[in-house]
Amino acid sequence: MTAGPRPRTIANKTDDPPADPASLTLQKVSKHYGALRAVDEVDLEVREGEFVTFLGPSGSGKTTTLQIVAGFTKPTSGKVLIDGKPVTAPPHKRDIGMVFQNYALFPHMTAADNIGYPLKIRKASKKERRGSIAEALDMVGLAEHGDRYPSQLSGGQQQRVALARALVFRPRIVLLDEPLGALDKKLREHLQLEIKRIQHELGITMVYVTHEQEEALVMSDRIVVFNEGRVQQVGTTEQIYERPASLFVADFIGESNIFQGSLEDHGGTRYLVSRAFRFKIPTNVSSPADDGPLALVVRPERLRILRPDAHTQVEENTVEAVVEDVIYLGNERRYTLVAASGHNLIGRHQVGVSSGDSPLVGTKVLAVWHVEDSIVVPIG
Amino acid sequence: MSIYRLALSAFGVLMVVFLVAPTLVLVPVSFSSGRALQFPPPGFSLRWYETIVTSPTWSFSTVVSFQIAVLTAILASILGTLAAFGLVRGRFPGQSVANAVLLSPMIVPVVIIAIGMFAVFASWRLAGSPLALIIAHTVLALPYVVVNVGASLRTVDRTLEAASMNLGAGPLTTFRYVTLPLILPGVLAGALFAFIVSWDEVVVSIFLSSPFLQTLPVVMWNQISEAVDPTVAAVATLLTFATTILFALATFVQRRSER
Ligand SMILES: Nc1ncnc2c1ncn2[C@@H]1O[C@H](COP(=O)(O)OP(=O)(O)OP(=O)(O)O)[C@@H](O)[C@H]1O
Ligand SMILES: [Mg+2]
Repeated sequence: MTAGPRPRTIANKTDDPPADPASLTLQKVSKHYGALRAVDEVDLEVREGEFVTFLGPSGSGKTTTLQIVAGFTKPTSGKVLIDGKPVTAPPHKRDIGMVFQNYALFPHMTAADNIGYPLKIRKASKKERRGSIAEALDMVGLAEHGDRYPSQLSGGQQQRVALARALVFRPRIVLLDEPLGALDKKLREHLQLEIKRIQHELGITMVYVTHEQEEALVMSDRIVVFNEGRVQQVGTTEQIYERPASLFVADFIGESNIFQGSLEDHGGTRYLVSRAFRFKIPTNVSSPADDGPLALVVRPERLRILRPDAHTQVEENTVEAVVEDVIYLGNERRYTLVAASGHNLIGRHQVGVSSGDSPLVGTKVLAVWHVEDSIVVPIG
Repeated sequence: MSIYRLALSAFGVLMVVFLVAPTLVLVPVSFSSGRALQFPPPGFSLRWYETIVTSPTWSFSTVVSFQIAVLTAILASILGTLAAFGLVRGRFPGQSVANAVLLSPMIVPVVIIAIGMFAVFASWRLAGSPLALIIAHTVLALPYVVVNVGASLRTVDRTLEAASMNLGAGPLTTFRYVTLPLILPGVLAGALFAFIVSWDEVVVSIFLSSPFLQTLPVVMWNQISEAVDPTVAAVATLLTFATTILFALATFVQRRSER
């Protein structure tokens, strides 16, 4: 990312289009179940070797989109392209690896036989198979467990067998549907790194589904935010966090202070105004086409908390508030404030970096942020 | 309380004796050295078992029964498995009617089925042929296969089949390597039951047999109505023994698949 503020536009849905040829392309892909639009006109390009994550709340269409790519679900309309060519082949001819949410290991085969299955189907010789299986088991750290049945493996081990099985036949694209959902935090973090490492080593294109934003932030080259079947935004972790395209994205990713109002222009300076406040907004925010309501979003770490009598700059927005709570989290303090307007605000400051005394609970303060730290997004 | 329990136990034992005794009585009789069906037998001998082996009527019908039962088991398990797939996986109008029709041989009185079969096969000039017996037995055995395979199939996780496809296997390969192994206990249990149904069947077989083609139970039936000697008891003992073994095997396979 380049330093300094970059031009902000409202609803910058897709960021710079990928330069390399796309490995996987979705063009206006929709899937309707009766009146329900499970997937609604999804456009997406995934580059060769890229790690892309689908992030969104439950029921937002992530699994359905993966199923369409894998060929298990026929889209109502739209096209899926691999290497620029439309794919209509049945699932078993797509050469796309998939790790299912419940692992889907064959219970009547050992770990080694599960991993060898795609090779057997492809009529690899016994010798070839044995070599590849050993290699794959080794890669996921299960060299000793090849002859165990899935029922004799722990959840994390089953997960790794499923991953090895999806990778062993060297598909160019691997889809993973919440593969770590059922595991505890520690194991999950370990496997996140392992998956990333393997992906990097083999240079595979991966599409990963999760509803854990932290997981998405850690693993992804780019994130695709889903809501109600629609792609809300596609971008790098930083773009999604710093320049959310909609209130939904701003609210869903990370913590936010949100003010809703409408745009007003006073002698060249533009404000977001409601009955309770009037905030300056960055000059490069373009007006919404439909003149609809807007929201101003400030990230908690951009909010400074000052004494009520502190001097502020012209280029700053201020809100009078009372400290409701302070939580000491070791590396940072988390403030909860109640503004005079009734808004709840959150501030987060690293301990040792922010100067001055920490304001006490119940005291009056001034919450301050720089105009350029305001993120203005359309509502809805 | 204890009297109540005692009475209950006594009643239970009585029921078992009542159910099993008529069958078990034939076992000692079959080893009799006498010429008549007589209990208790006057002495021990294997002569009636010898008769089975040496008499062409008995040995031929044993072979016939076995062949027909094996072919029935094979045919019924193939057709029953296909039917179970349609009934469990399919979505088509009249599905519940199809289900009822397939299971009806379990409910409809066998005599009625026998008369119907006889009428049809006679008009096709097939009455008395092995083909007619195999088809008729298959119809009777089909419900057992459909029920057993259907129960297995319902427990198969469909994402396993999706995973198989995803790994490159077409529908047939997926069936062979994933679905079939998972429902195999159900298919085996169904096949064993089908064998037993055919092996024991007497009513339909009487209608469809000819002097040149008689299954074991039919020969027994004919013998009993003519001259009674302990050969029948020996045959009955063998039949019961085979059926018990197969039934135990089928139950064992079923149990295993439920685990
Ligand atoms: N076969 C189906 N028939 C009808 N509706 C369906 C079907 N499959 C999915 N849906 C609906 O489509 C929507 C999207 O489902 P999908 O499984 O893609 O969500 P998701 O984003 O994967 O959610 P989660 O995070 O809970 O897994 C949901 O509202 C779901 O109820
Ligand atoms: Mg899902």
